[in-house]
Amino acid sequence: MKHAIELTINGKCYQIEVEPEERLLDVLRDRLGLIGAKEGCSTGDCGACTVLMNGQAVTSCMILAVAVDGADITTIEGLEKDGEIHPLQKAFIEEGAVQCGYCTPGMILSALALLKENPEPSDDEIRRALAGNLCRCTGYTRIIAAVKAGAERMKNHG
Amino acid sequence: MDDQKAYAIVGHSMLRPDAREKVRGRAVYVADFRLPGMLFARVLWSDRPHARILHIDTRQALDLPGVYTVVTADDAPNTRYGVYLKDQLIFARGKVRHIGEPVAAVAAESEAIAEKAIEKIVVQYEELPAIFEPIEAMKPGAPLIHPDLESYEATYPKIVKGNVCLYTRLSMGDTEKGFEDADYVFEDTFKTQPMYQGYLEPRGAVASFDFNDKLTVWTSNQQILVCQAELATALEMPMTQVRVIGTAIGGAFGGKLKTSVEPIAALLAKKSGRPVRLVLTREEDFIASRARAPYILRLKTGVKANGKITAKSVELIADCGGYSDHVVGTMGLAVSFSQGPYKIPNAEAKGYCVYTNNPNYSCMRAYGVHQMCFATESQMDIIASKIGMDPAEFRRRNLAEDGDVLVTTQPLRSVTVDQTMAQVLKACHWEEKRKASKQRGVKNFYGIGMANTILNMGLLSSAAIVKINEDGTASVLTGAVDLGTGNHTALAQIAAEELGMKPNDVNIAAVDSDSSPYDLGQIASRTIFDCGNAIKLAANDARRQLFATADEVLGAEGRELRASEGNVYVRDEPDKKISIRDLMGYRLYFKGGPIIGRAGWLGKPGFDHLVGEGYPQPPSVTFVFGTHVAEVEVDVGTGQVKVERITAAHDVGRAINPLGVAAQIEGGVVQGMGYALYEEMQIHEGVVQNPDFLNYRMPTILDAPEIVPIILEIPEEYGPFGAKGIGEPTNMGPPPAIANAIYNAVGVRVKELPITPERLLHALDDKKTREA
Amino acid sequence: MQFEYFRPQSMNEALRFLADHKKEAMILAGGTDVINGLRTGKQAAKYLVDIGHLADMKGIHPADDGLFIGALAKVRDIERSPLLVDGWRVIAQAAGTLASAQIRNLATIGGNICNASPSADMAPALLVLDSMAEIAGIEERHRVPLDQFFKGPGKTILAPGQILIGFHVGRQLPNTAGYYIKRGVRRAMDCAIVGVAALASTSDGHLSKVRIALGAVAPTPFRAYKAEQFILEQGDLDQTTISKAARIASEACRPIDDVRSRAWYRRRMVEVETNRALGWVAKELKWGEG
Repeated sequence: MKHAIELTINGKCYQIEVEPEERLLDVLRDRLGLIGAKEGCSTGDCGACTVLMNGQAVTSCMILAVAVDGADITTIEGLEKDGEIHPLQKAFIEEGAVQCGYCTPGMILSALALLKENPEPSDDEIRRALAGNLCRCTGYTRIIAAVKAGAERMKNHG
Repeated sequence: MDDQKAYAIVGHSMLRPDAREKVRGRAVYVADFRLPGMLFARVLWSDRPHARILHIDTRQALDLPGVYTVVTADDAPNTRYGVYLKDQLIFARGKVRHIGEPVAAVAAESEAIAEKAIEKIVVQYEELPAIFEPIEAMKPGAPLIHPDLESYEATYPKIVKGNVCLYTRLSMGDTEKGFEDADYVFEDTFKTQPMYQGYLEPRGAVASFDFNDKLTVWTSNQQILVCQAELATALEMPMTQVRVIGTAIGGAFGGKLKTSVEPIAALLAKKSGRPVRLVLTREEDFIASRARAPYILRLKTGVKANGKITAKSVELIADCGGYSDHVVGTMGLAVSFSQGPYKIPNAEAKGYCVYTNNPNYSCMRAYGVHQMCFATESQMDIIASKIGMDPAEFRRRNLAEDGDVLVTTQPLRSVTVDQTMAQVLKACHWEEKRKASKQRGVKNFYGIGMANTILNMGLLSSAAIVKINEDGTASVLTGAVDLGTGNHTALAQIAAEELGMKPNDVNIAAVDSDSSPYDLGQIASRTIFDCGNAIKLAANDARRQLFATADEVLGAEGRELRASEGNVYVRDEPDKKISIRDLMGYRLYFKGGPIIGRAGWLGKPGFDHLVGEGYPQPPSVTFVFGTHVAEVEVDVGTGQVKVERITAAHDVGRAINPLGVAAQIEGGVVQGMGYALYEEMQIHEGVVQNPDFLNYRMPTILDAPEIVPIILEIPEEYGPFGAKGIGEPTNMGPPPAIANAIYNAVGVRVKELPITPERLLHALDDKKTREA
Repeated sequence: MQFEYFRPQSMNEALRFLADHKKEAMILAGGTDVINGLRTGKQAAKYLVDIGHLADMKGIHPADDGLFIGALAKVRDIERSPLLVDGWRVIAQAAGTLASAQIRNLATIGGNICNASPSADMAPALLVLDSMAEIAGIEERHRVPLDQFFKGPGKTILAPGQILIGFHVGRQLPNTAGYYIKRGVRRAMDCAIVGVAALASTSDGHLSKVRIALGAVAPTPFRAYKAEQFILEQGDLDQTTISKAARIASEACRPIDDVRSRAWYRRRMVEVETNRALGWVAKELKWGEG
């Protein structure tokens, strides 16, 4: 049986009918074409599908869409404002923190959730916040640098 | 050799243009693909390690609403294919040889329906005796996994017997005499584990047939042109009817070679008449993986009391699992580099690749040299310790130089390991730290260890086409995809430097086998070296054509021309110039016509004398060297090892994009650390016990050590602008460097990877018992 | 995975639905275990009863007898709760070791306990605080000491139709210190190979309470009573006592070989980590410093 749910995604309200087994990740990718959330493991162990739900980082492969009726979701596609990419996205480019890019959207969203709560995180706080986002390419060094640079840029952007 | 400062673009760090779409979540990977009418596929994998297939009943699956088609071996040509040994089929025919072998596949309206249909396929098996230990599989009377092995075609002088699908032997000098001359002879056996590549994007492909029966496949393969050829062979189609297009790739590391999912998607598309997408789940990607093959490495090394190595012989046994795949090739490189970067006058190397009913193993970053490096560099420290010499000093006394020969008898060239070693030891204060006190607190001990690396550079062919566009920009057609390493950025820099354009005015075109020229693929760290050479030559060809026209337009009358930032000018007369855009206008509308630069490249090793028996590899064009130093803290209570820092020096000839080189080193180091300490595909009776990212433990950001990359640039004569590749060498240093650092910390030698806390604690217990 | 989704509007409605459908129904809270179970077919249910929004099971609240932690309290909120200080801090500390930030934002403490994994990180911490589980059925509510809650891997005393409402955690003596050590291989994202929680209280310079609880080394998380008893008998937390107690704890466990670790290593780690956890507690209590 389908259920009607309402989600606010990147500031836009969507009314969607979902099957009970559809995950939030499926709704984002298959229904709405928001392909920035990636499916890497389907078990909540890699973080590639990370999105923000009511401001908090969550693995969207671990969420049934029907169960989060009314939630406010931010995906990587929602970070751009007026055609400008987010300062954190810019930092990932400029610090060379992107290689294959498959972990990148999830990584950025986990970092964003951290920076919203803690605008000046230490290295260790960054590592703890991103521990659920696997990256196989970069060795993580530049990701830490990018989060720090992003924090600086976000401060400067008010 | 040109001076680095002379280059406007090469040697300067450049940000990657593709990073922008990636941070925005807009890069399109296979799983993001949708075509009108597209169906979704799932595969039925063998759940038996070795069994005869008596009957496959697909009727119930076909009856399910939403199911379009089911394919099995009956729908596939009975043509065996493979890179080195043609032993493989798209679907198991007659029998299955490992768990995770494709038996059937379904295309349906949704993945859920396809999954349900898979469960409804009934396969009747008759179990066959299975064998999981390569040493058992080598014994006479062992159950034969490929009874027709003798008849399989091979690309190498095949010496096969029973389950051994490759036997090779190389030798040089007189090892027997070498061992007699030695004061000490060391014999050690090492073991390495199956390692999963762990790319974040699981394998997948989309296949579609058009009305003229031409097949198009979109895939995240590392070898687009090889994939095209292999698909054509496997499907018995001419290559003109097979078009393969590269998508964005979410990492590969040797796990997305040749074909795997592509022919299955293609057969489903053909039979259903609809486009079909097949993307593996993570669990399937593990079970049907092409993991790095586990090796048993027996080393025997003779050494004089003064630290000079007199002889070395190795015997290597690799487990292929059900099919030979790339394991045969890895063995070729493993035996080639069995001496390490050392001068060893008498050497012998034997290698066996053995079929078992384990999963289909293959290769990963640094191929078989990775396994070999762990054994060699571990044994170097064992010897140094025994003869009471600092491991660095012991290595120094044996370092190879240009002209010293490998066991293949190929002479080494461009040997720079003395310099990588010197740099790294200085940077990490080796002398002081080796002497420093080991104990920190009650249970923790500090240790520092090193490892040298050697690898081949340059493998077979590449080609490139450089089109100069009407607006003065250039498009480069190459068969090289960007696995995520950033090679497209560096390749654009090479083209821009040669053309005298701004790097952003050069575009590396998406790879499409219909238009991209041949390339062996993004393997073997060869892209910058081989594709880079092809692109440089093609760009040079285009520039030559541009200059011919410029000479005429500028009235240069043969005076030397230069190009920079999109303008061509007469040297020493910079006012006499014309933009490439205007030149192209002249060419296209007045005289000369379009400009296409083109080049093919096949690195010449200057050595074509293949020796020994059963050797499967071509000689190396040149060689690449590096040195890693690992610093660790060992908790002797738990056996836990914390890697604090890895200092990694690599000679890259020329860093085309220094930022990209450093990023490769950092990523490779952390992967290597995972291999050293955490990662192992645990196989029990052919079943992967940990097919998930929870229990297959790849390093997280909390595990990553401090990494100090040191980039040496000692230009390589054969490299484009002097460059060598860097992808693989970064990954081989950490396991032995960490093992050696652990020994330095606590005096315990672990010869089996990964060095898990349990394994180390076990070794610590043994040591205590021995001492007591 | 195929099921019908039902979202009751109240606890009563939830209990009634569960009572009517018993074994056909499965409870959904944070979902991090359930969704994996359903997807892989390891679990199946006709109805998924989503209790995730029931307000009376949420949050952490001070109570007359100490603290009430709702079963739906998010692990992430527990990790950062300002209420979980002093003797209760061990709960927050254990919460911080569980999986990733993303999972902690979804997972509930009740789910972690009801899933009844031997390695559940929240269990040893709750056990050393003598937590009582409150269980509701359609007709009655009752409290059970948590160490009677687990029946085996994946098994609890919850009967079909019952819901775990939350945990009552008693007030602790002013001088109480507790510590949880999770032994994995990686520094994050692993399931515990061994989990050890230790807690002790002193009053007037005497040891008045000692608790040790172990995870991942038996079919269920459990209290190491003998080791606790031994310390109380000795009345000391010096290194000799701690070492002996740690040995006793390791003898109490029944570990298995599995994909994550071998039994011998687990047993050994119980000794090592119990030693370290008790050592930490003694130091925190300034034991032996006069």
